[in-house]
Amino acid sequence: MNTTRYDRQIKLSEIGTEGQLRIQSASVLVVGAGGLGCPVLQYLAAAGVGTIGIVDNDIVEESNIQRQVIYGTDYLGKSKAESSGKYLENLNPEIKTIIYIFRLTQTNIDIIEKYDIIIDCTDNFETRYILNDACLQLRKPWIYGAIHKYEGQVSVFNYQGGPSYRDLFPNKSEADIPDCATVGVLGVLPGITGMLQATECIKMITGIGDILSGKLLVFDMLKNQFNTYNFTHQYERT
Amino acid sequence: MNETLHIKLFGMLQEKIGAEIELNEPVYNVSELRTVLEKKYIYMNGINYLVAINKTIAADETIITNDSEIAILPPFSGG
Repeated sequence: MNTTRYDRQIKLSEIGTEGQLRIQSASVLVVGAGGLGCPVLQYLAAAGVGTIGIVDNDIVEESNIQRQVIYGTDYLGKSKAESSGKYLENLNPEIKTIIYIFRLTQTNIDIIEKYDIIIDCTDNFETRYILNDACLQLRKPWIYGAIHKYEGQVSVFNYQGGPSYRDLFPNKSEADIPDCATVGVLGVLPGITGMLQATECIKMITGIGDILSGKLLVFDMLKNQFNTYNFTHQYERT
Repeated sequence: MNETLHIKLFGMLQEKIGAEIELNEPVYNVSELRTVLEKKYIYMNGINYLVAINKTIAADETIITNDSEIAILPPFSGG
C-alpha cells in the first residue's frame, strides 16, 4: 500500500493504518454513474476502496455534464460505466474497477453478492425496490441517496439488521414522482448528496462514527436546513 | 383536541401545496391527519408520504398534540 497517497486520512487517529487496510480490502458496488454516482466514485476511489463495481447502461449526454462532473465534452456519447471506470483508473491505479454495462434488474441482481456495501445512485424507484429486496435477502447494507431540485435524502438501510427502504415506503407510489429530467436540479445537489453517501460508506468500512441507520437525513440547500428523522422497522419481513 | 397545527412539507408536496401550512381542523392522530390532508389537498392522494412527529417517522396511531412538530416527507426520485 502506498501510504503517502493516503497519508492525510491515515493521520486521522480513528482511521490509521488499520482503517486504511480495511478500506483497501473493501468492495463497494455503485449502482448508477450519474449525478450521485460521480462524487461517490471519485471519493471512494481517491480514498483507496480496493474494489469498486460500477453499474450503468447509459451514455453521456450533454444535459448530464452540468452535474455529472467526471464527464467532459469529449465523453459525449460514450458509456458512463466505461468512462467513469477509466477516470478512476487514472485517479487511483491501486484500485480495481469492475464495469457492468447494464441496467440492474431481477435477472442480474445477483452481482451484489460479491460486494460488502451497495450504494444506490439510481434515478428511479423500480431499481431502488429491486435493490432493497435483494439486499434484504442477501443481508447486504446499502446506502440510499435521492434528490429533488434543491433537496436531498440520505439513509443507510439494512445495516446490521437495521430497517430498510420498505420500512419508510412499503410500496411504490401510485402517482408519479417527478425526476430531475422533469423538474430540474441544482448541479451541486447530487454532489453534496453523493459525498454524504461516500462519507457513510467510509465510516461503515472503517467502523467509525454514527451511521445513518434508522435515520433519514433530509436537507434543503436553498434554506441551508439539515434535519434527521428517526425510524424503525415497520415492514413485515418474509 | 388541538388548535392550529403547523405542518412543514418537503419535495414535490412543498412545491404543490406550500413549504408550511396551517391546519385548524381537529385531528387526534396521524391517521386522522392523513384523512384531513388528503381531503383538503387532492394532490396528496396516490402519493406515498411519511408523517414525522417530533423528528420521528410516525405510525398511523401516533397521537398529535398542539405542540407536535409535524413534517410531511414524500419520496425523492432523481439521482
